[in-house]
Amino acid sequence: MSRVVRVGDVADTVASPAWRPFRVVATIADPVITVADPMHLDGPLAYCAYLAARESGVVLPPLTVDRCADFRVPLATWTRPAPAGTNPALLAADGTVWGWCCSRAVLTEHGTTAVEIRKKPPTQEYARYTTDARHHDGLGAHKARNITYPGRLVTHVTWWALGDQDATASLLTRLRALGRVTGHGNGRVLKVEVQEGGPADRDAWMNRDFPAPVGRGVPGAVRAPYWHGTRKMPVTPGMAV
Amino acid sequence: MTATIEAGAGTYQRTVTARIPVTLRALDPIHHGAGTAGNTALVRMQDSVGPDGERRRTPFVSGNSIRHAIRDALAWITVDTLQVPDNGLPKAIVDLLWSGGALTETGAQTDLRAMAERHTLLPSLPLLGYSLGSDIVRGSLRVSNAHLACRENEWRIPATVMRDPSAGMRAVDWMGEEFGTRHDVTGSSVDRLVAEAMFGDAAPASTQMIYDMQVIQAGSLWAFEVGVDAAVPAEVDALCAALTRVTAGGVWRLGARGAQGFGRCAVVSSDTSELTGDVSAAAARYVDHLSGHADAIRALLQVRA
Repeated sequence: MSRVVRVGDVADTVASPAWRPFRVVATIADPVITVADPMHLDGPLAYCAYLAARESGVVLPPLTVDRCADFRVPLATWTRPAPAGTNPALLAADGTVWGWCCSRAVLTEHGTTAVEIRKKPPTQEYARYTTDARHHDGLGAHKARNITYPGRLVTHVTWWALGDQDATASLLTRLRALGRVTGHGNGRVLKVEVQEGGPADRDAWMNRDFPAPVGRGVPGAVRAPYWHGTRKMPVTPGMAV
Repeated sequence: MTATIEAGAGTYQRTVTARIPVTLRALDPIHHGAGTAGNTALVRMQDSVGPDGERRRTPFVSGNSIRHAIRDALAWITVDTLQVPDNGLPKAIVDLLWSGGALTETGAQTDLRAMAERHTLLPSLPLLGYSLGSDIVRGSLRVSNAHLACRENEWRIPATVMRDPSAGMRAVDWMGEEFGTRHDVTGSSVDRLVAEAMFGDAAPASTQMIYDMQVIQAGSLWAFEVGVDAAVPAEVDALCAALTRVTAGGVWRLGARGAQGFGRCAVVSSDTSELTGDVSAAAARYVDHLSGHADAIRALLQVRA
């Protein structure tokens, strides 16, 4: 099976009995840097699918400003009528907007903190290896920096989804961190648990962003990668079920 | 109209996604600073909330600091291997090697060929991430904060580390204070010499200084992770070369004031099994790569003869 989704394959599979509801709970060890990102589960899940694809050595389509692939993740897919002017990259073959059946992140949050990241100019190395006469720590491209990010003190992050619980758990073994600036240890994920849901949880995934009617909604995105320009569209948050 | 994007035929280099859990024991006090109170340099503290919902503050060493140790090691490996002469590099390149570079140009066009060549010749760049020209490149390196093995951090430190008897202490019990002084020559023969040579009859003012710093005491255990996401084999080799240099003699320097003897830590454990089977061989491969492409890398780094 291809690692990325072919648009012609996409259909609304919400009603399929093959997909079952489950809950994903990530335990967090360090403050998460995020302000208003809804962090839908398919974001980190698609990143894990990308890592898995790279590990296997398959050739992936290039990521450009106007094209990005949809990595196949083990979740059901929803469709909604496309508002006028929707980016064609968001559409399924039948002209609807589609996305993965997973909720936004629900953070168990206990407060906020500040996360500082510093850059010290390598002045001793400048002195040895360059011919420059002076360096100013506060001016120019190479100045010292102390960047403060807003951190959220989060113990757990929870998502609901409709899909294949075991395959999701397998992909999420690669999930190391959530939020921004994760290469420095922020938002570190200590462990991920995937728990089976019951029949009453089948619609819990709908606590997520959906396409907004024309002229309404707020800026957002409906499918991973959420940061990519082709994924942006006005959205309206789904209701917590 | 819809756009179809599919995975292509053939294969790319298989990448590695790996974690290296590292445990260190401080042989000397550790100082990782965050401002001052009076003339006392304070250690950085992190707010966290454990599974019990209780908020706590513990000293830590930032992942950014550990990343810099790896970047610094790779910069020295590069200039040593290429035998870069003193005054032989542009400032932007020194900044790139030791500090990750900076955006120095405007514009939205990226020279993809030049970037690919850069990454092939100097795999430390895509490993660490960098800024150059008008590009910001995300690195494959992932480093966590280093946390003190103490009662407050029990929930986020590996159980194998927490079995150490020292890990049962509270964070506050590990906190200490050290001081340094600057030798005062006032009234000494040096003072008279300086006065005669430089100031005539006027004696120089006292230069006495005492400074204090908070530290986490020797004997403390520290746990963190170094890892990579989707690193190509050359990036893995670069990381192995850096780790070999950083842990030379079984000692890793954590935090600041290393020149004054602070931060010396013994490597208790460092499990590289997910990364590669043979760290030494990978490290040697990286140095061989630099040597084998020395002329091209010198040209890339604009090394002056």
